[in-house]
Amino acid sequence: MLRVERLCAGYAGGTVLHEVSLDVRPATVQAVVGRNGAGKSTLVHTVAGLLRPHAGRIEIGGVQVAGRQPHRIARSGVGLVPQGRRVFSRLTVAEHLALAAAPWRAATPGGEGWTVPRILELLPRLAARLRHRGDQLSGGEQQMLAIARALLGQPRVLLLDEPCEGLAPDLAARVRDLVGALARGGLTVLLVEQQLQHAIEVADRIAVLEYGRVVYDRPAAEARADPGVLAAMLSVAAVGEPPASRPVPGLWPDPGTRPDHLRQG
Amino acid sequence: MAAGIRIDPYLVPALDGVAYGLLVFVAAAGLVLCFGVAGILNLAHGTLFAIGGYTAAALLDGGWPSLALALVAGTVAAAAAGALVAGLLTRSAARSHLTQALLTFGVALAGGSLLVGAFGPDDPPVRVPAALDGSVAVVGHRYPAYRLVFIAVAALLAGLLHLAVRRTRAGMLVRAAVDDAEMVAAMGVSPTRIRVGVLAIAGGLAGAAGVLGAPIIGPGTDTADTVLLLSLVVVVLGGLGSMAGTLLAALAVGQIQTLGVALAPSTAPFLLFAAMAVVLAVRARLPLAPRRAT
Repeated sequence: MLRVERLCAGYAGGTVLHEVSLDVRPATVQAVVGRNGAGKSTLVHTVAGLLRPHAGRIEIGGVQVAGRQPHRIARSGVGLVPQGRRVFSRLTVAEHLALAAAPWRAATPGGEGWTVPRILELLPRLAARLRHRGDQLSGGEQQMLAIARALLGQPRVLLLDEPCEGLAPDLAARVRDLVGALARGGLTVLLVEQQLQHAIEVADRIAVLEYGRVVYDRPAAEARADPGVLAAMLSVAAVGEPPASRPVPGLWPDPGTRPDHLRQG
Repeated sequence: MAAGIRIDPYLVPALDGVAYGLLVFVAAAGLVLCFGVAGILNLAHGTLFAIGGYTAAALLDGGWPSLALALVAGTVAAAAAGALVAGLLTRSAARSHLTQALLTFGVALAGGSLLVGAFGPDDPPVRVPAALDGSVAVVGHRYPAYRLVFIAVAALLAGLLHLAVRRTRAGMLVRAAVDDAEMVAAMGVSPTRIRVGVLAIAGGLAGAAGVLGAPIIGPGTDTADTVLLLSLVVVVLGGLGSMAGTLLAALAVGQIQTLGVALAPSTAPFLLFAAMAVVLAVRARLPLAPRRAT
């Protein structure tokens, strides 16, 4: 669904990404981990069109989109949840949702058909904060709003740039579970994470970026079986066994109300 | 009673200040949109106002239909000129404020010359509808009827603009783009469409202000420069964050230009720029607010 091939990109003449290649299968989570400055956010920005690549290809559903303007890439089915959330501070939650659900966003071929009621069913906390402005929300609420905004664009591919950054552990767990559920519901996810444990819990495949190059790209099951290899690569303590799947309080108030497309998870 | 006697001589200048302020507001609101949303410093904004003014001078014949025609024609012509300015600003040119300033300044010079060439160097007369050509009594003073009606119409325009920004999808888009234009693009909205739309709307506002304000200021060879200067002052004083800030700043400018002159004739001309300098100095010392929510 998302194919990145020999991608080179950077800023002001300097190259950050060096021939990065990734092949993200439909309805899976591809995590990209790496240290600060490894090029993770540069990768997300380039795929989203916010940064023009120096060379290489980016394909969404087989269509080459590298070098296109960000609004064209968004319309081809790419949703962005950026680092730091970047919700609009002057708009209320209701206005965010109304703007995100605008008619120009409803035509992505193969998109999921997200609607505001469906989003509020998935993220009931937002329903209680409809009149609050973006800058009046907690970090977790802002993250949910950023995800809601991206989903209402009917994406086929969701780019998440450190969605758990700055969140309390329980909120971070909810976000990870939501990401996993979205992938099981059919969405293709590129998840950039600095925390290996966060990535390893939810990903189907994990890549490691080091100085702008992919130095590891294996199924997550391999990483889970032998987490020491990855940990050594990232110079962090080995991660333990991923916690067992658990219900997520707050995301779905009652398992019976969980949306159909997520129940299989 | 004594207080009434003191205030009385200043009632007419104060009313003039409201009219002048509202006129500057309608003109400056367009510049605030240009700079705040599209990030474009449009130094041709005063020329767009002048287009409206000259259109009024050419079409107004003292009848109501001509006023309606001039309002439509002046608004459309200035909106088209605004869209033309947007078309001249390519994506790369739009990124640099210096390039924008040079290019739009050139457009202003060329546009000003074209207007003078077409209408002549002398200030053309403007004929308002006969019913508004007289004066009415306001607390014992005679006051031009047109200015009173203008205050009402401009206040209505300000209200409609406020509603459009707060309640419509286009208004939401405007506020979102002021906040984070890059994220708006990442939501699938074309920055080019926003740029052209905003400059056309800004031009339309300037054109409408030019038509309605023609009997008050202009049109003339200095009109474009005066309106641009006052609009820039309003942008500095009111900031780019809200129409309410723009309105307050414009009303303050109006009062300084009229009531200020009546109260302190020797210092009033400097008050405007002193206020601007103080605001800039205070802002420079304030800690920067975070650009994005984190």
